[in-house]
Amino acid sequence: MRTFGNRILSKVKSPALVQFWRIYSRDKLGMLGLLILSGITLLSLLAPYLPLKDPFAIVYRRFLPPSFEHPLGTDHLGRDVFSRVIWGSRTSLVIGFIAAGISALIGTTLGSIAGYYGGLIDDILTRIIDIFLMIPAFFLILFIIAVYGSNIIYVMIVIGLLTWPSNARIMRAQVLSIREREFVQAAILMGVSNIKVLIKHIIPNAIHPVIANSILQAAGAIIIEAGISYLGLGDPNAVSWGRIIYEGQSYITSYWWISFFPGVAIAITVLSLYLVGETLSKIFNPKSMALGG
Amino acid sequence: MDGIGPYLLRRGIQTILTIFLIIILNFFIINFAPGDPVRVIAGEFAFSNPEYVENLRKRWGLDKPITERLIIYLTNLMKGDMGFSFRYMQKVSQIIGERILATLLLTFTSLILSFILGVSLGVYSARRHGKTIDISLSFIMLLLYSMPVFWLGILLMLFFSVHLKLFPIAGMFSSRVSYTGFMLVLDVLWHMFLPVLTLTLANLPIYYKITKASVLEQSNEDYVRTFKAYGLRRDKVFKKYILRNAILPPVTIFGLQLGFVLSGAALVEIIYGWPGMGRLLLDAAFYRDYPLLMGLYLVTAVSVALANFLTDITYMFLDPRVKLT
Repeated sequence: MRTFGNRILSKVKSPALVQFWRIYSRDKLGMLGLLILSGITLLSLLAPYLPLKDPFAIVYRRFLPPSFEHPLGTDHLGRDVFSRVIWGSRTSLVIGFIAAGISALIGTTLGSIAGYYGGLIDDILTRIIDIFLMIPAFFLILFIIAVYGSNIIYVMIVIGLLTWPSNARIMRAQVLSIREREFVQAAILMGVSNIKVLIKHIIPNAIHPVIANSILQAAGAIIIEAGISYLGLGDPNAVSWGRIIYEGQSYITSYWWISFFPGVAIAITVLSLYLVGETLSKIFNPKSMALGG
Repeated sequence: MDGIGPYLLRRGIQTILTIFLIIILNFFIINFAPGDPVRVIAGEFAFSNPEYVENLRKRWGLDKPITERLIIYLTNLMKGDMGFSFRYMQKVSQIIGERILATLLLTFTSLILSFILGVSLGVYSARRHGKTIDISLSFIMLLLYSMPVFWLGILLMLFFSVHLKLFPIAGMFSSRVSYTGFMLVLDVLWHMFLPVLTLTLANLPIYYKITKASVLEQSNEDYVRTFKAYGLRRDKVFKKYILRNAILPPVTIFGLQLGFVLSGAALVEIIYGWPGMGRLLLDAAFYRDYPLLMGLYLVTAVSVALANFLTDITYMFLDPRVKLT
């Protein structure tokens, strides 16, 4: 993995990336997380091209225990659990990354505006952040889904809309310190417009901790979606890990494999995201200065 | 400490403002919902009997304009009236009141247990940093952290209740016998063991991680080195200085989690058939019982806001360095 990474980087001529990779690849747990995460991502991308059984086909015998033919058994309708778990990774990963992406986008925008402009704008935005931090996310998501109906798009958007405040806080703190640096002050004195200073000079230098936080938030979003689907409030048209657990739980005393393996899949995915996210935040932590700021 | 009064006042106003905004948000989410609650109550009569539907609409006040309904809602809330549940045919405040204690019993017990256990294990691990026991503990905590709480609950139930038959599968009381006094307490304790275990295991990793990191950070501070150089005993430095400073971050987490005493256990309550607010929420969601949904959400949101306020005050006394800003 390390040499593979080095080979890719030798083609990209970016000293910052090379230096980053040198530090990251030294972290064993971080590398383990990246390896697992790449594996899962690859599997989910390649799912349509792999020799998997149709995840929706109701053609096998019901409740077959794990075997060579069905590595994770079959479910109550006779569908292959293994292929359902692989296909389920697509739903979970998409929800995780899009929800985290929405959260990062809003958090970065509002956080940098608050940090850069300061004053009244900062006061108002900080209050809004405080209020959002007090909203019990899981309850509100349940509430909204119950009222507006279940749809994977709603789930992603609502999770994203509720989790941005932590990104905004991080970004605000970053911008507050970077704004005072000489190159930013120079740009301002040269008459570069505020928006250009923010987008070209401040955000690219401030965003790293937000990236680390977003990866941890992706893990959180996957767990929230699983919880909603487990309650039977998930999108019935999407195969997701939570939904497979929900469908299997009525039979769990006799046919444990249906609900057991999707849970393992969630745990492994969350674990890998956590390991990558923690390693990144160690590297990007403004205190550690591993990358020279 | 001249800033305490104004500080409390400002935080108080902020809390009230937050609660007010949550109420408004609450109201609008429900009111812009697709679907007509009247048709849900009317059931099959909705299509055959339009007069009946109109009567229902009038009876529940759904024929009034939205601003008027908001004002009615707000004035009723002021009087402590959260409305009337369509499904249970009972006052929302009464339904929630009946369930709230069961939920608090679970969440408070597990919150305190996970704080004590997590902090102790974190301190233990930090003092044996890098040794096998520390690495194994960290690994277990990482695994617990990665598991979805409902899945952990299912596994524990499968193992302890179904396989070993040690604990009941669901509920809060034994159904066939009616115990009183001490036996009743034992019965409830027996029933709450697994849900509390699940919640405690799920919350443990946060306290463990924060405590360990914070003890390690404090141990590297200059003041610790100075004390050691002066020849103070390791144990004494640890108990008197390191621990006192290192306990602040886990206390903050405790305060944050205190806000979720009403909502945090929903999934676990549903798995174990615990007669708390979780099941109620799920039913309200399924049957579109809007007043009940609004009431539940409101109660949880207010509890979060209040817990935040209390945490801030506690923190002010625990840590004299806190700036009153």
